[in-house]
Amino acid sequence: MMDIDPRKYGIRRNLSSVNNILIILSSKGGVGKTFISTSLALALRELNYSSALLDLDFTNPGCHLFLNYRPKGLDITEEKGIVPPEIFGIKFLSIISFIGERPLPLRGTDITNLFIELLAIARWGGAEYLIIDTPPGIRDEILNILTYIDNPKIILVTTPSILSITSSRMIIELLRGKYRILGIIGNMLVENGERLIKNLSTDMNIKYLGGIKHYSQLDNYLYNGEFPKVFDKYIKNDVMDIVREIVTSL
Amino acid sequence: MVHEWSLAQAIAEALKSYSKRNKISVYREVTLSIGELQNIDIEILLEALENIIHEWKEVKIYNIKYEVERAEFLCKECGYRWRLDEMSLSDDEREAIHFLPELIHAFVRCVKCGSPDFSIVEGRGIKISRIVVGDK
Repeated sequence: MMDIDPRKYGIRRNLSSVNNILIILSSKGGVGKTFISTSLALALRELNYSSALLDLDFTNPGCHLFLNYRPKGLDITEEKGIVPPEIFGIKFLSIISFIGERPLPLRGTDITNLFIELLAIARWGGAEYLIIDTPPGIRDEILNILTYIDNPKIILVTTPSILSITSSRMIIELLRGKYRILGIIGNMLVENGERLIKNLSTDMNIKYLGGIKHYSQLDNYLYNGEFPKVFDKYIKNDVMDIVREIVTSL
Repeated sequence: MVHEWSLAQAIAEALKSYSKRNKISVYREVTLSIGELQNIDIEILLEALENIIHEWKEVKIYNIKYEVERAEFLCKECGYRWRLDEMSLSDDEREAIHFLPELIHAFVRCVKCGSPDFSIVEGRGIKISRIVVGDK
Protein backbone atom coordinates (compact mmCIF):
# COMPACT_ATOMS: atom_id res chain seq x y z
CA MET A 1 0.00 0.00 0.00
CA MET A 2 1.30 3.43 -0.93
CA ASP A 3 -0.20 6.89 -1.07
CA ILE A 4 0.91 9.31 -3.77
CA ASP A 5 -0.93 12.62 -3.69
CA PRO A 6 -1.12 13.70 -7.35
CA ARG A 7 -2.40 17.21 -6.62
CA LYS A 8 0.96 18.86 -6.01
CA TYR A 9 1.92 18.03 -9.62
CA GLY A 10 -1.19 19.88 -10.74
CA ILE A 11 -0.09 22.99 -8.80
CA ARG A 12 3.24 23.18 -10.63
CA ARG A 13 1.61 22.66 -14.02
CA ASN A 14 -1.09 25.31 -13.49
CA LEU A 15 1.25 27.93 -12.08
CA SER A 16 3.88 27.37 -14.75
CA SER A 17 1.73 29.48 -17.10
CA VAL A 18 1.97 32.51 -14.78
CA ASN A 19 4.97 34.80 -15.32
CA ASN A 20 5.25 36.34 -11.87
CA ILE A 21 3.71 35.28 -8.59
CA LEU A 22 3.72 38.09 -6.04
CA ILE A 23 2.99 37.15 -2.43
CA ILE A 24 1.67 39.99 -0.26
CA LEU A 25 2.82 39.22 3.24
CA SER A 26 2.76 40.54 6.77
CA SER A 27 2.63 38.38 9.85
CA LYS A 28 0.80 41.19 11.67
CA GLY A 29 -2.93 41.52 11.00
CA GLY A 30 -4.70 44.76 10.13
CA VAL A 31 -1.86 46.39 8.17
CA GLY A 32 -3.79 46.51 4.89
CA LYS A 33 -2.55 43.48 2.95
CA THR A 34 -5.93 43.04 1.28
CA PHE A 35 -6.08 46.73 0.33
CA ILE A 36 -2.55 46.56 -1.11
CA SER A 37 -3.18 43.23 -2.92
CA THR A 38 -6.36 44.44 -4.59
CA SER A 39 -4.82 47.83 -5.44
CA LEU A 40 -1.75 46.21 -7.03
CA ALA A 41 -3.94 43.88 -9.12
CA LEU A 42 -6.05 46.83 -10.32
CA ALA A 43 -2.94 48.94 -11.02
CA LEU A 44 -1.30 46.17 -13.03
CA ARG A 45 -4.48 45.92 -15.09
CA GLU A 46 -4.25 49.70 -15.66
CA LEU A 47 -0.78 49.17 -17.07
CA ASN A 48 -2.30 46.64 -19.49
CA TYR A 49 -0.82 43.57 -17.84
CA SER A 50 -2.94 40.45 -17.54
CA SER A 51 -3.56 40.49 -13.81
CA ALA A 52 -4.92 37.84 -11.45
CA LEU A 53 -5.73 37.95 -7.75
CA LEU A 54 -6.02 35.01 -5.34
CA ASP A 55 -7.45 35.55 -1.88
CA LEU A 56 -5.73 32.91 0.21
CA ASP A 57 -7.49 33.90 3.41
CA PHE A 58 -9.96 31.02 3.49
CA THR A 59 -11.50 31.79 6.86
CA ASN A 60 -11.58 35.61 6.61
CA PRO A 61 -11.64 36.54 2.92
CA GLY A 62 -11.77 40.26 2.14
CA CYS A 63 -10.61 40.99 -1.42
CA HIS A 64 -14.16 40.50 -2.72
CA LEU A 65 -15.33 43.49 -0.66
CA PHE A 66 -12.74 45.69 -2.36
CA LEU A 67 -13.93 44.45 -5.76
CA ASN A 68 -17.58 44.75 -4.71
CA TYR A 69 -18.06 41.12 -5.74
CA ARG A 70 -20.85 39.37 -3.82
CA PRO A 71 -21.86 36.21 -5.74
CA LYS A 72 -25.12 34.60 -4.66
CA GLY A 73 -24.17 31.04 -5.58
CA LEU A 74 -21.33 29.00 -7.04
CA ASP A 75 -19.57 31.30 -9.52
CA ILE A 76 -16.82 29.47 -11.39
CA THR A 77 -16.47 28.00 -14.86
CA GLU A 78 -15.15 24.49 -15.53
CA GLU A 79 -12.63 24.20 -18.34
CA LYS A 80 -10.07 21.45 -17.79
CA GLY A 81 -10.06 22.67 -14.18
CA ILE A 82 -11.71 25.78 -12.86
CA VAL A 83 -11.46 29.20 -14.44
CA PRO A 84 -11.77 32.14 -12.03
CA PRO A 85 -14.40 34.78 -12.81
CA GLU A 86 -13.14 38.05 -14.25
CA ILE A 87 -13.95 41.04 -12.04
CA PHE A 88 -12.98 44.55 -13.19
CA GLY A 89 -10.62 42.95 -15.69
CA ILE A 90 -8.88 40.83 -13.04
CA LYS A 91 -9.02 37.02 -12.87
CA PHE A 92 -10.21 36.74 -9.30
CA LEU A 93 -10.33 33.61 -7.18
CA SER A 94 -11.62 33.49 -3.64
CA ILE A 95 -13.38 30.92 -1.52
CA ILE A 96 -16.32 33.36 -1.82
CA SER A 97 -16.92 32.05 -5.37
CA PHE A 98 -17.75 28.64 -3.88
CA ILE A 99 -19.55 29.32 -0.60
CA GLY A 100 -20.43 33.02 -0.56
CA GLU A 101 -20.01 34.66 2.84
CA ARG A 102 -20.59 31.54 4.93
CA PRO A 103 -18.27 30.90 7.89
CA LEU A 104 -15.65 28.23 7.15
CA PRO A 105 -14.05 26.79 10.30
CA LEU A 106 -10.83 24.97 9.36
CA ARG A 107 -8.01 23.30 11.23
CA GLY A 108 -4.46 23.25 9.84
CA THR A 109 -4.76 19.99 7.89
CA ASP A 110 -7.94 21.23 6.23
CA ILE A 111 -6.25 24.52 5.28
CA THR A 112 -3.38 22.63 3.66
CA ASN A 113 -5.72 20.28 1.79
CA LEU A 114 -7.84 23.20 0.59
CA PHE A 115 -4.73 25.09 -0.53
CA ILE A 116 -3.40 22.12 -2.51
CA GLU A 117 -6.75 21.23 -4.07
CA LEU A 118 -7.56 24.81 -5.09
CA LEU A 119 -4.18 25.45 -6.70
CA ALA A 120 -4.24 22.02 -8.37
CA ILE A 121 -7.44 22.83 -10.27
CA ALA A 122 -7.28 26.64 -10.75
CA ARG A 123 -6.26 27.68 -14.26
CA TRP A 124 -4.90 31.18 -14.64
CA GLY A 125 -4.87 31.36 -18.43
CA GLY A 126 -1.35 32.70 -18.77
CA ALA A 127 -1.71 35.65 -16.38
CA GLU A 128 1.39 37.87 -16.38
CA TYR A 129 0.98 38.68 -12.70
CA LEU A 130 -0.72 36.65 -10.00
CA ILE A 131 -1.08 38.56 -6.73
CA ILE A 132 -1.68 36.35 -3.69
CA ASP A 133 -3.25 37.99 -0.65
CA THR A 134 -2.39 36.08 2.52
CA PRO A 135 -3.82 35.89 6.02
CA PRO A 136 -1.73 37.18 8.97
CA GLY A 137 0.56 34.87 10.95
CA ILE A 138 3.29 32.49 9.86
CA ARG A 139 1.10 29.44 9.71
CA ASP A 140 -0.19 26.89 7.22
CA GLU A 141 -1.07 29.21 4.33
CA ILE A 142 2.34 30.90 4.35
CA LEU A 143 4.28 27.66 4.81
CA ASN A 144 2.25 26.08 1.99
CA ILE A 145 3.20 28.94 -0.34
CA LEU A 146 6.87 28.48 0.49
CA THR A 147 6.64 24.71 0.04
CA TYR A 148 4.41 24.32 -3.00
CA ILE A 149 4.94 27.46 -5.10
CA ASP A 150 8.17 27.67 -7.10
CA ASN A 151 9.99 30.98 -7.08
CA PRO A 152 7.52 33.14 -5.14
CA LYS A 153 8.37 36.85 -5.03
CA ILE A 154 7.51 38.32 -1.69
CA ILE A 155 6.28 41.84 -1.00
CA LEU A 156 6.03 42.81 2.66
CA VAL A 157 3.50 45.30 3.98
CA THR A 158 3.85 47.27 7.19
CA THR A 159 2.35 50.27 8.92
CA PRO A 160 4.53 52.62 10.98
CA SER A 161 3.21 50.99 14.19
CA ILE A 162 5.92 49.42 16.39
CA LEU A 163 3.77 46.27 16.49
CA SER A 164 3.89 45.95 12.73
CA ILE A 165 7.55 46.96 12.34
CA THR A 166 8.67 44.43 14.98
CA SER A 167 6.63 41.76 13.26
CA SER A 168 8.19 42.69 9.89
CA ARG A 169 11.70 42.28 11.32
CA MET A 170 10.80 38.75 12.42
CA ILE A 171 9.39 37.68 9.06
CA ILE A 172 12.36 39.16 7.20
CA GLU A 173 14.66 37.09 9.46
CA LEU A 174 12.67 33.99 8.56
CA LEU A 175 12.67 34.56 4.80
CA ARG A 176 16.01 36.15 4.02
CA GLY A 177 18.61 34.02 2.31
CA LYS A 178 16.25 31.41 0.93
CA TYR A 179 13.34 33.36 -0.55
CA ARG A 180 13.26 36.43 -2.77
CA ILE A 181 11.89 39.51 -1.00
CA LEU A 182 11.19 42.21 -3.60
CA GLY A 183 10.76 44.87 -0.96
CA ILE A 184 8.49 46.47 1.59
CA ILE A 185 5.47 48.76 1.16
CA GLY A 186 4.48 51.23 3.85
CA ASN A 187 0.75 51.58 4.43
CA MET A 188 -1.47 53.92 6.49
CA LEU A 189 1.27 56.54 6.52
CA VAL A 190 0.79 59.61 8.70
CA GLU A 191 3.32 62.30 9.71
CA ASN A 192 6.73 60.67 10.38
CA GLY A 193 5.53 57.17 9.62
CA GLU A 194 7.39 56.80 6.36
CA ARG A 195 10.73 57.58 8.03
CA LEU A 196 10.24 54.65 10.45
CA ILE A 197 9.61 52.25 7.58
CA LYS A 198 12.55 53.58 5.56
CA ASN A 199 14.73 53.02 8.66
CA LEU A 200 13.48 49.44 8.82
CA SER A 201 14.27 48.87 5.14
CA THR A 202 17.80 50.28 5.59
CA ASP A 203 18.44 48.26 8.79
CA MET A 204 17.24 45.03 7.23
CA ASN A 205 18.66 45.74 3.77
CA ILE A 206 15.24 45.38 2.11
CA LYS A 207 14.16 47.66 -0.72
CA TYR A 208 11.55 50.29 0.15
CA LEU A 209 9.00 50.08 -2.65
CA GLY A 210 7.00 53.14 -1.59
CA GLY A 211 4.24 54.24 0.74
CA ILE A 212 0.51 54.81 0.73
CA LYS A 213 -1.15 57.39 2.97
CA HIS A 214 -3.88 56.57 5.46
CA TYR A 215 -7.29 56.65 3.79
CA SER A 216 -9.67 57.46 6.62
CA GLN A 217 -12.73 56.89 4.42
CA LEU A 218 -11.72 53.41 3.24
CA ASP A 219 -14.41 51.63 5.26
CA ASN A 220 -17.07 53.92 3.84
CA TYR A 221 -15.92 53.13 0.31
CA LEU A 222 -16.20 49.43 1.09
CA TYR A 223 -19.62 49.73 2.74
CA ASN A 224 -20.91 51.49 -0.36
CA GLY A 225 -19.20 49.14 -2.82
CA GLU A 226 -17.29 52.10 -4.25
CA PHE A 227 -13.67 50.96 -3.96
CA PRO A 228 -13.03 50.29 -7.68
CA LYS A 229 -14.44 53.75 -8.53
CA VAL A 230 -12.46 55.47 -5.76
CA PHE A 231 -9.35 53.54 -6.77
CA ASP A 232 -9.53 54.99 -10.29
CA LYS A 233 -10.12 58.50 -8.94
CA TYR A 234 -7.66 58.79 -6.04
CA ILE A 235 -5.78 55.69 -4.90
CA LYS A 236 -4.35 54.75 -8.29
CA ASN A 237 -1.99 57.74 -8.20
CA ASP A 238 -0.44 56.49 -4.94
CA VAL A 239 -0.11 52.93 -6.18
CA MET A 240 1.21 53.40 -9.73
CA ASP A 241 4.73 54.40 -8.67
CA ILE A 242 4.92 51.35 -6.40
CA VAL A 243 3.76 49.07 -9.19
CA ARG A 244 6.34 50.49 -11.61
CA GLU A 245 9.00 49.94 -8.94
CA ILE A 246 7.86 46.32 -8.55
CA VAL A 247 7.77 45.66 -12.30
CA THR A 248 11.29 47.03 -12.79
CA SER A 249 12.58 44.98 -9.79
CA LEU A 250 11.62 41.69 -11.43
CA MET B 1 -14.77 20.31 -20.07
CA VAL B 2 -15.11 19.30 -16.45
CA HIS B 3 -12.48 19.61 -13.75
CA GLU B 4 -11.92 15.82 -13.63
CA TRP B 5 -9.60 16.52 -16.56
CA SER B 6 -7.22 18.54 -14.38
CA LEU B 7 -7.25 15.77 -11.76
CA ALA B 8 -6.45 13.20 -14.47
CA GLN B 9 -3.57 15.33 -15.68
CA ALA B 10 -2.21 15.66 -12.12
CA ILE B 11 -2.39 11.85 -11.69
CA ALA B 12 -0.58 11.36 -15.01
CA GLU B 13 2.17 13.78 -14.03
CA ALA B 14 2.55 12.11 -10.62
CA LEU B 15 2.97 8.74 -12.36
CA LYS B 16 5.45 10.15 -14.83
CA SER B 17 7.50 11.67 -12.02
CA TYR B 18 7.36 8.39 -10.02
CA SER B 19 8.52 6.47 -13.12
CA LYS B 20 11.46 8.80 -13.69
CA ARG B 21 12.50 8.80 -10.02
CA ASN B 22 12.34 5.00 -9.74
CA LYS B 23 13.44 4.20 -13.33
CA ILE B 24 10.23 2.29 -14.11
CA SER B 25 8.87 2.07 -17.65
CA VAL B 26 6.16 -0.62 -17.46
CA TYR B 27 3.30 -0.98 -14.94
CA ARG B 28 1.10 -4.04 -14.78
CA GLU B 29 -1.42 -2.20 -12.64
CA VAL B 30 -2.07 1.20 -11.04
CA THR B 31 -4.84 1.55 -8.46
CA LEU B 32 -6.49 4.85 -7.60
CA SER B 33 -8.28 5.45 -4.34
CA ILE B 34 -11.17 7.84 -4.95
CA GLY B 35 -12.76 9.54 -1.97
CA GLU B 36 -16.55 9.33 -1.84
CA LEU B 37 -16.80 12.92 -0.55
CA GLN B 38 -15.47 14.48 -3.76
CA ASN B 39 -18.12 12.70 -5.85
CA ILE B 40 -15.84 12.46 -8.87
CA ASP B 41 -17.27 11.30 -12.21
CA ILE B 42 -15.05 8.22 -12.36
CA GLU B 43 -15.86 7.38 -15.97
CA ILE B 44 -14.72 10.83 -17.15
CA LEU B 45 -11.64 10.73 -14.91
CA LEU B 46 -10.51 7.34 -16.25
CA GLU B 47 -11.26 8.27 -19.86
CA ALA B 48 -9.22 11.48 -19.52
CA LEU B 49 -6.38 9.60 -17.82
CA GLU B 50 -6.32 6.89 -20.50
CA ASN B 51 -6.29 9.55 -23.25
CA ILE B 52 -3.29 11.24 -21.64
CA ILE B 53 -1.18 8.14 -21.00
CA HIS B 54 -2.06 6.67 -24.40
CA GLU B 55 0.20 9.38 -25.88
CA TRP B 56 3.20 8.37 -23.75
CA LYS B 57 6.16 6.67 -25.35
CA GLU B 58 8.48 6.17 -22.36
CA VAL B 59 5.98 4.67 -19.88
CA LYS B 60 3.40 1.95 -20.42
CA ILE B 61 0.51 1.24 -18.03
CA TYR B 62 -1.55 -1.88 -18.79
CA ASN B 63 -4.34 -1.62 -16.27
CA ILE B 64 -5.83 1.24 -14.23
CA LYS B 65 -8.11 0.18 -11.39
CA TYR B 66 -9.93 2.17 -8.78
CA GLU B 67 -11.56 1.72 -5.42
CA VAL B 68 -13.97 4.14 -3.78
CA GLU B 69 -13.08 5.04 -0.20
CA ARG B 70 -16.18 5.74 1.88
CA ALA B 71 -16.19 9.13 3.58
CA GLU B 72 -16.13 9.21 7.37
CA PHE B 73 -16.25 12.18 9.73
CA LEU B 74 -15.26 12.49 13.38
CA CYS B 75 -16.51 15.09 15.83
CA LYS B 76 -13.64 16.56 17.85
CA GLU B 77 -16.05 17.56 20.61
CA CYS B 78 -18.26 14.51 21.28
CA GLY B 79 -16.30 11.83 19.40
CA TYR B 80 -19.23 10.77 17.20
CA ARG B 81 -18.31 9.19 13.87
CA TRP B 82 -20.67 9.42 10.91
CA ARG B 83 -20.98 8.77 7.18
CA LEU B 84 -22.07 10.87 4.22
CA ASP B 85 -25.54 9.32 4.06
CA GLU B 86 -26.38 10.69 7.53
CA MET B 87 -26.28 14.26 6.18
CA SER B 88 -28.43 16.09 3.69
CA LEU B 89 -26.75 18.49 1.26
CA SER B 90 -28.25 20.66 -1.48
CA ASP B 91 -27.11 20.32 -5.10
CA ASP B 92 -25.08 23.57 -4.86
CA GLU B 93 -23.41 22.37 -1.66
CA ARG B 94 -22.53 19.03 -3.26
CA GLU B 95 -21.11 20.85 -6.27
CA ALA B 96 -18.89 23.11 -4.11
CA ILE B 97 -17.64 20.05 -2.16
CA HIS B 98 -17.00 18.27 -5.46
CA PHE B 99 -14.42 20.95 -6.30
CA LEU B 100 -13.01 21.41 -2.80
CA PRO B 101 -13.95 18.69 -0.29
CA GLU B 102 -12.96 20.80 2.75
CA LEU B 103 -15.87 23.14 1.97
CA ILE B 104 -18.04 20.61 3.76
CA HIS B 105 -17.05 22.58 6.87
CA ALA B 106 -19.14 25.49 5.56
CA PHE B 107 -22.28 23.40 5.26
CA VAL B 108 -22.21 20.72 7.96
CA ARG B 109 -21.86 20.39 11.73
CA CYS B 110 -21.59 17.25 13.85
CA VAL B 111 -24.87 15.44 13.23
CA LYS B 112 -25.07 14.48 16.92
CA CYS B 113 -23.96 17.51 18.99
CA GLY B 114 -23.93 20.35 16.44
CA SER B 115 -20.23 21.19 16.90
CA PRO B 116 -18.51 22.84 13.91
CA ASP B 117 -15.24 21.16 14.95
CA PHE B 118 -15.01 17.87 13.08
CA SER B 119 -12.50 16.18 10.82
CA ILE B 120 -12.71 14.25 7.57
CA VAL B 121 -11.20 10.94 8.66
CA GLU B 122 -11.18 9.27 5.26
CA GLY B 123 -12.68 9.36 1.80
CA ARG B 124 -11.91 13.00 0.93
CA GLY B 125 -10.16 12.91 -2.48
CA ILE B 126 -7.91 11.10 -4.94
CA LYS B 127 -4.70 9.18 -4.20
CA ILE B 128 -2.58 6.70 -6.10
CA SER B 129 -2.88 3.84 -3.63
CA ARG B 130 -1.13 0.89 -5.31
CA ILE B 131 1.35 0.27 -8.09
CA VAL B 132 2.35 -3.10 -9.55
CA VAL B 133 5.47 -2.90 -11.70
CA GLY B 134 6.03 -5.20 -14.68
CA ASP B 135 4.46 -6.60 -17.87
CA LYS B 136 0.86 -7.83 -18.04
